[in-house]
Amino acid sequence: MDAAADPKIEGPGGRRVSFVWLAPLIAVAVALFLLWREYEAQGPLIEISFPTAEGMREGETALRYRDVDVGRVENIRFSDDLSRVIAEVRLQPEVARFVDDGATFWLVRPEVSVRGVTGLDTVLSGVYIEGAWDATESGAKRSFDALEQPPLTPIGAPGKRVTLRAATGGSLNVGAPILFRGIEVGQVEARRLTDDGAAVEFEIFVNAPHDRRLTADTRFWNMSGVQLSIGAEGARLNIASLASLIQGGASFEDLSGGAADPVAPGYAYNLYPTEDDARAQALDVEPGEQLLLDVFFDGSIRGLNVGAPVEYQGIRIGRVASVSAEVDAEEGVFATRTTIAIAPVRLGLGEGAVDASLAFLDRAVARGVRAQLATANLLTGALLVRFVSVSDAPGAEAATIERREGRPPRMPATQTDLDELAGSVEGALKRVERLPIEALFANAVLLLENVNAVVGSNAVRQAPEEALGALAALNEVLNSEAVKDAPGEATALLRALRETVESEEIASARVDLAALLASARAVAATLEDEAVAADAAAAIAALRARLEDPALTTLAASLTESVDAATALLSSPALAETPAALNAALASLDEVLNAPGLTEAPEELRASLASARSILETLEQANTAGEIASAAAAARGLLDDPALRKLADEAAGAAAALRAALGAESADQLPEAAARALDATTALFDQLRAADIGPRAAEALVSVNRASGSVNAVFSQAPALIASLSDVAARADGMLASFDVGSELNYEAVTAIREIRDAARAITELAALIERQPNAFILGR
Amino acid sequence: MTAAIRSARAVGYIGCDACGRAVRAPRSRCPRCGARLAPDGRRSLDAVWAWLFVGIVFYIPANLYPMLYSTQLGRRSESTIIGGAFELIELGSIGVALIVLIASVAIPVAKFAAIIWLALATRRPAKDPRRALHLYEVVEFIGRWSMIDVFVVAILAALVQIGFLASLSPGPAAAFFAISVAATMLSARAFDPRLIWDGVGAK
Repeated sequence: MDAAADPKIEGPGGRRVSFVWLAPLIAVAVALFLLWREYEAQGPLIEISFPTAEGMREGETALRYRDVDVGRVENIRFSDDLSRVIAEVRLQPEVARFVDDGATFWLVRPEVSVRGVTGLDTVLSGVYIEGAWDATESGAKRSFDALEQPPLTPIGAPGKRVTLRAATGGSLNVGAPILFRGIEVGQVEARRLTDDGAAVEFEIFVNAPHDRRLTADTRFWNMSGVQLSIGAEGARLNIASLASLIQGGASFEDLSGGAADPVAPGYAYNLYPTEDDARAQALDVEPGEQLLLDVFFDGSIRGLNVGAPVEYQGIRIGRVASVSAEVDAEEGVFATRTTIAIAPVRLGLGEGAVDASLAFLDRAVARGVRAQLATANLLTGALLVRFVSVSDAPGAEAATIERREGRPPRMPATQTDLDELAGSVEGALKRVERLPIEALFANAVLLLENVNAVVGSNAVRQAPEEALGALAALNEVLNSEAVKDAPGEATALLRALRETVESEEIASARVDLAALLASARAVAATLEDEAVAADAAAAIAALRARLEDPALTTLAASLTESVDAATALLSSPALAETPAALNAALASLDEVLNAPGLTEAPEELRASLASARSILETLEQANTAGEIASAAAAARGLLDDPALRKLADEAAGAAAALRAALGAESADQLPEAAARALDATTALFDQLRAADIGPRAAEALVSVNRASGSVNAVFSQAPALIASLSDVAARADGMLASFDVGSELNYEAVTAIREIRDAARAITELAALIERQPNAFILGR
Repeated sequence: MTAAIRSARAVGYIGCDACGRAVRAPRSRCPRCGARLAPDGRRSLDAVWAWLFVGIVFYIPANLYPMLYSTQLGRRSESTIIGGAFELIELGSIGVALIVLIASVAIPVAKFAAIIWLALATRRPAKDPRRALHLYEVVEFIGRWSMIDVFVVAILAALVQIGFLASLSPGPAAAFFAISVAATMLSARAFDPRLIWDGVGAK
């Protein structure tokens, strides 16, 4: 086939690079980026050498710093001589620069020791390598030897390392606590023999801030285990902490009282076997700074030990340095030589004042001071040396401190006061003799028998077990969550209950409840005749409203004014002389009645009566009677009202007061006043007559008639009034009904009551439950 | 092959990729569906090579990075595709290991090889065009099944989440592997099987 046959499709012409080649470009970019990131995240590889690879796994075992993974074991191999295992650890780059000379590594595995359990988490997750280093960068190092034990003190912990030196290692082990007044302030980090093997050195670490108590005057002593010592002061038993029983321990005290400066790290201390030794050594001064004296006591010095105190007037001024014998071969005399060391500091003469001390003692001896043996402890027979004054004793010859060549000066001694010794012993024995020992023993035997009986009884034998069981059960109970929660929940329950009871809703509910009950009673009373009662209630409400109308008040006021005016009128002088005036009045009345104007009066009267009758008819038409009956019923309800009762009481009170008033003197004058009133009336009538009363009376009757008409008109509106009253009553009824079930207030009250009831029931149930199952309170349901 | 084979191209027609209509050359668009026709009647091999390259590039990290992180009782371990397969063999699950090896190693590598071979083979008239076509169809079909490893990881990671006791989470290799497979599939799709037949009849 020739090329011309190939179809050619015209295109944009020219071959262009396809966009699809962007994809591999991006892919390459991504791959390069990943490569770069991987390289960047790659930390250096360090080698850590271990005795064994216990539990380590390639690619899994982590290197942790402060419990954060900072690397991973990539490879585990042997050292060239197969003596050690080398773990190659890939570090994370951010910590790599800190891993320098000061870095230490160790394997963390579960460990149970006297001092506690550590590394429990490694039981599940496997061992890991813990590293520790400081935060300073100082030259990278890539090969390390792992510690065989985790370091006891965290790297960089503030404190001070010092050395203790002792004759034997004793029971002071690595990890043993260093105590200061019984508080652990450090620990023993290492112990080793000195190079010459003559002593044991302990490296200890004391945490800050207690390390500032390490001064040149600080003394350390061994606290290991139990110490029983019987010395001049009696028996003493020391038991340190349980841990120190097993691991040992050392304690220290700064005998300078904080005055001395702290020592530099690495300072070497002596470790004394006991606290007494340590404290006694505090009195030790350098050989050149103490005054040595020889004393030759007569007789036995049995009981005088090296280290026994030397006292002067009860103050310890030194100690017995050595006890030895001195034989004078020529004279065949055996003498005991006691060398005592006097500390000038204790005499208050300042450090190193040996000569001054000797001069002081010279003068003291000249005054009759001698060395003497004295009993320090009756029980053990221990002796001490004391300086006593014998100047007043008879036969005391003068003596001096004898200077001897090549030996300490000789201090003169005096006889031991055996009388005193014997006397005190004798007295003690006599006192013992006088004791009613026979009776005491008899009683003691009886007591022991009783005790035996009690102790031998089965009940007592079982008691410990039961007590143990009870304690265990109690422990369980006390440790159970429910008990821990119970007080809190009880408190919360009580608090909630109190809140509920004290809440305003309850208070208001109580008030509302009372009101509700009162209304309910009222409603019940009115319900006897529902419609009537309702209407009556409405009527009364309206009536009361009407009575409270301001118009009525003004009416009353004007009435009062009228009465006042009438009184003034009646008390006018014209009303004097009653009988005569009365007669005159009657006469004038007669005249008035006979007056021609009065003839019109009956007609007017009749008209008045007619209108009155029409009023009554209107009332009748308006079913007034029924209304009035209902009003009466309501009135009865109203009368039941406590307020009314109170009103009645007040009325009674008022009546009583009135009676009291009537009983007053002024009442006696009443007849006179009445007479005067009649006089006044007569005068009035006279005046009336004079004023030609007839037409005016007719006018008055006309106006009465008019008034009656208006009253009639008013009463014609009565049905409307009653209707509106009924309306009001219905509204009141609605209001009362609103107190019924369903209203919000009522609902709240009911809810509150129900809640209280529920709470009460719950408490009752709880009480019943606890009564049935007392342990339910503890164990929960 | 017999000389009886005459391709459409030989008689001046171009098949539309979209609707299949044979279009008389020269034209740049299909008169029926309006799809763009390849400039010289054939899709270029550029896309094939490009996607193949992407697939191979991402196949490398897919095998180097861990496919699966597993945590058992606080112990975290990671496994790559091949490392995981060998672990399975050590545990005795040879069957599963074979499936993993075939799906994740053998098939992708074979696909790379097949696409390269096809792309190179079209430069000269094929000796056995039917076999080449068959190979292409197999590659097309098997493409989607290469994702089986990714599916397994996704499902396991969702299922095994028992907190401290055991949990699995996918590693970065899963994403790389998925990209690699997708790129290979695109590469296979971009291959124009008609290229196989070009020149066959020209003998």
